[in-house]
Amino acid sequence: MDNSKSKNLSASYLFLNRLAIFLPARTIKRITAQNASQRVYIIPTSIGFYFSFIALVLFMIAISYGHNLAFYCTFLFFSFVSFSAVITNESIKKIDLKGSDVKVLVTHDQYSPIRLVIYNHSKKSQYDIFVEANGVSVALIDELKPLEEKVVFFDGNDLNLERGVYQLSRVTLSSRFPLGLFYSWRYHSCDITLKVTPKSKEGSLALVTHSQLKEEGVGLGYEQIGTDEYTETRDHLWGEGFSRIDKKQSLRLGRPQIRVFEDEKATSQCFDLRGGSLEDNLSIAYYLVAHLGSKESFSLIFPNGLITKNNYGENHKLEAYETLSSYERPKVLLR
Amino acid sequence: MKASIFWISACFSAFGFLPFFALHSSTVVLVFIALLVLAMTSYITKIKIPFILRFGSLVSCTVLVWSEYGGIRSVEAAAGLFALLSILKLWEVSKSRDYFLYFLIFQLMMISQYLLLESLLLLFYMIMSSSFMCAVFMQLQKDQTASMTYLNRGKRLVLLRLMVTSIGLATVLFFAFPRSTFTLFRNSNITQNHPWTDYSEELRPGSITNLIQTDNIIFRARFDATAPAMPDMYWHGSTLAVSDGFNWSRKNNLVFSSYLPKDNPGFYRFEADMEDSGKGALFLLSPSTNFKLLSLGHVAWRGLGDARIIPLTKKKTRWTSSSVAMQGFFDNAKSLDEARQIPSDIKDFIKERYPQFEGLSAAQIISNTSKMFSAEFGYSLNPGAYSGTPLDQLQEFLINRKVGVCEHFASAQALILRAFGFPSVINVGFHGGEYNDIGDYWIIRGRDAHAWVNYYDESKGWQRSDPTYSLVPSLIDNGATDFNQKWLEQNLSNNNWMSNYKIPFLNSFIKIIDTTYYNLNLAFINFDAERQQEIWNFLGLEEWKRSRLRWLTLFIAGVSLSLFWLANQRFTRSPWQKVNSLYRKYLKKLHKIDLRVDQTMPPLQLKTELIRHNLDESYMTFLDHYIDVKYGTNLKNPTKQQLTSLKTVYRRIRNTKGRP
Repeated sequence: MDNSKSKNLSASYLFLNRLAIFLPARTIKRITAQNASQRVYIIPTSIGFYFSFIALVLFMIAISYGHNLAFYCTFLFFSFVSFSAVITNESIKKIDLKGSDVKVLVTHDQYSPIRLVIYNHSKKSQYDIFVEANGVSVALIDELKPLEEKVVFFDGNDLNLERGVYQLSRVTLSSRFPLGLFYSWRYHSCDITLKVTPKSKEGSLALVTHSQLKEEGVGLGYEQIGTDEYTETRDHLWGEGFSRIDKKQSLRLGRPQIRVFEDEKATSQCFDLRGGSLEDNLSIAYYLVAHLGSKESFSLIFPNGLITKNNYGENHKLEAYETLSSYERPKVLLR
Repeated sequence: MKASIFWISACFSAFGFLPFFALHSSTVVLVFIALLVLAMTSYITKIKIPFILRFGSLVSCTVLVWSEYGGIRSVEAAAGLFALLSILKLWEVSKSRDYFLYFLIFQLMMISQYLLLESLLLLFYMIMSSSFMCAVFMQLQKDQTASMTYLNRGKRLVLLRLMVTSIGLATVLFFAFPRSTFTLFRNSNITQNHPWTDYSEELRPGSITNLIQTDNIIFRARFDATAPAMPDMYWHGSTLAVSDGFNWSRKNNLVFSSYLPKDNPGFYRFEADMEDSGKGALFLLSPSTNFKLLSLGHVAWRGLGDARIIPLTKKKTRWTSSSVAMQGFFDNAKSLDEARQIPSDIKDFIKERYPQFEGLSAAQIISNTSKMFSAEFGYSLNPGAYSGTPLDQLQEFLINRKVGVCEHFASAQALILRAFGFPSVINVGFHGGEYNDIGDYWIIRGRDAHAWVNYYDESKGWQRSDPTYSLVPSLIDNGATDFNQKWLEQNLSNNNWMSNYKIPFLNSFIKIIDTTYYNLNLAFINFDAERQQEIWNFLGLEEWKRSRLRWLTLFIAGVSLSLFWLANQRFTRSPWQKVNSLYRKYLKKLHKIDLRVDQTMPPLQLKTELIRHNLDESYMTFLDHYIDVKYGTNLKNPTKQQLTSLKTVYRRIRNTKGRP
């Protein structure tokens, strides 16, 4: 996955990308292919390099001038570097990912929380733990107390994913604590399915009714999701037939009532995604569906002949989003 | 968060640079202040300084430093350049990375300044500034969050642990790391003289007069065993053999042949260290001593105790010296001729003035001049300035004013000796000092400055004569501290500027402070290969080679790191430790009342056992509490209240016998 446009790239992602220039592809693949490992990777940060370089310069000065303050300063800096490496390593060693969401719908224009449970099984507090997914830093845990389980939410949009279905199989926990001189990380496996909706785009789509489809003569070949059940009745008008009269309602109200089917209501819409650019149509459909009221029923007709159920309500919308997300997109594995 | 870090950085700059302003040129200091004010103004008004201006300032600052220090290769120039660069970095801080870089430049500036100075206070300054830097580094980790909380208690503890262990390891490595006298940048162009002992090159009337009115510490000396008595404690600095009549100076190519014996320790041995660094005389106990320079440098030895150091690095001068049990040295004719040189007008004046000295031996002239000084002349700490030609000055002293300090009397006596053909020179240095009985060492101050005469006796060689003794024997017998105070009290009753010499309580306090300062300096600032060898000897490793000691240092560093790692990983208390400990005690208590239970038995099963044995109610209560705390809640850590209640219940058990 190309994350080059993201501003929040994780250090491990950047490091491995740079390392790929020098190391054989097999080695890089072996490291990056891991889903979970007990191994803690630790590297100096750029500041760590500068700091160590200054300690080295100091050492040269101390030797060159035989200056005791410079000697002490060298050893003090050396101690900072050493101990900070130990603490950074320990910070991440006993932190585990204990649980996570199974399925998340990521919508572009709103916060899409993904839940993780992070567990500290060490006997002391750990600080400033970064959560990284797909090479992006998505959350920072300020403090994890001893034996604490912390629920962390991060926004799925931070992963910078395009429309599609993804399986997030690995989360990286990393730390620069205490001085930011070293960066350590560890991989943890997870299994989160992410369905990313198309980006919302304003526009309009052709509207068709089920009767029109039938009239077009292509209805038989269509797969229709949903039923023909009616939801309301209206008064019988002069000249109409009697086949659609609802007997129960007519008796209850004392006048003849005609069954009104969903696709005949003014609020019922069937968005036609056939013709034109598919991605544009999907984006427009997402926009239109998102702006429909909860009582307005709708269905979608896809170019491959798929017709979604004609229904209304929030659940129906969510199902439509998922269909829009996964339409003709195979599942992609994320690490 | 960033706002506070900006102001912390600004304070760092101000407190890191301004206290050391004397090290920099006034232009650099003014530019530094201007840049700092501009950085703060820009930050407050949120007006970004454009790139062109920043780049222009960078170039201007480099040019300024170049012109002020004549290049940018010296340490002074580096300190000035880093100071200005750190402020320029403050101009453009926007990300945490910029702050990191700012602090690293700041540290380079501090280190450059440390190289220019040698003071124990700088060590504390360095530790403090490093601690604050680490705290800021730690806080910068939170850059990506909106959290405003400053380091919480846990983080502060981690920082404290990091600092304490780092200082510990740094101290161990400092003393263990192999030292050598090898240096890459030996600066042989150190032209600065010791500011308080400049007169050792040239003695003019007034040189010592000015110095004896000061209280500055020149050097400290600690004797191994017995120190010489005060009247014999002449700290010989320079031998001045060239005279124009009343002023004296050194002659570089004049070397007295009195040899410098080596490896021949006498009845005393001392180690001294100068308070400041620079070129100048080494002060050795007269008449002659052997010595060894402990700091890096060359020593020019010209006989008669005249040793002059040319330091190779800007470090404090340290030396050790021991006496040679012999009196007097015989010299060659060439050197003696040099020591007889005297301007003809001065010679004529003296011969005319003192015809009675004609035909007398050197010792007799010494004796007679001393009597004359004692009878007709007066000693004053404030004799006033002499002006005119050397002859005028000499006439003014010998005929009219007849008042002076040691330098006047020594000069006059040496000239009289030369006028009658006896080789003589002036020795300048110090006499006596103040003994610090708490620290067992001598402090030699400006007020101990002294000048005396060395004359040549055909039968005895070079001999010392101190004409001041005939005037004010108490000065030589008791030292300048005591004498000066009395003299000032008697003669300057309205101006008691030195009357606080002896306030017993204050003096003791000052002595304690000075002892601490001196000992820490010896241990830290003056630490070198010799002192390190003393540590190895103390540890019984005197036979070890240097290569093995290097490995030992690495081993110490490795062990320290491993111990820290272990402590970090293992020796951390679990939040359940107290609960588990109480439960273990409880099981032991059960064991004591002969109820032998399996320690691995689950608590609920144990409870059934207790009911079966009909134990006291308190035992049941404790177990109930324990089960409740450990298994009955969803808490990951026991609360304080739970622990307190468990302890209370346990205390009740201790007071019961067990079975009812």
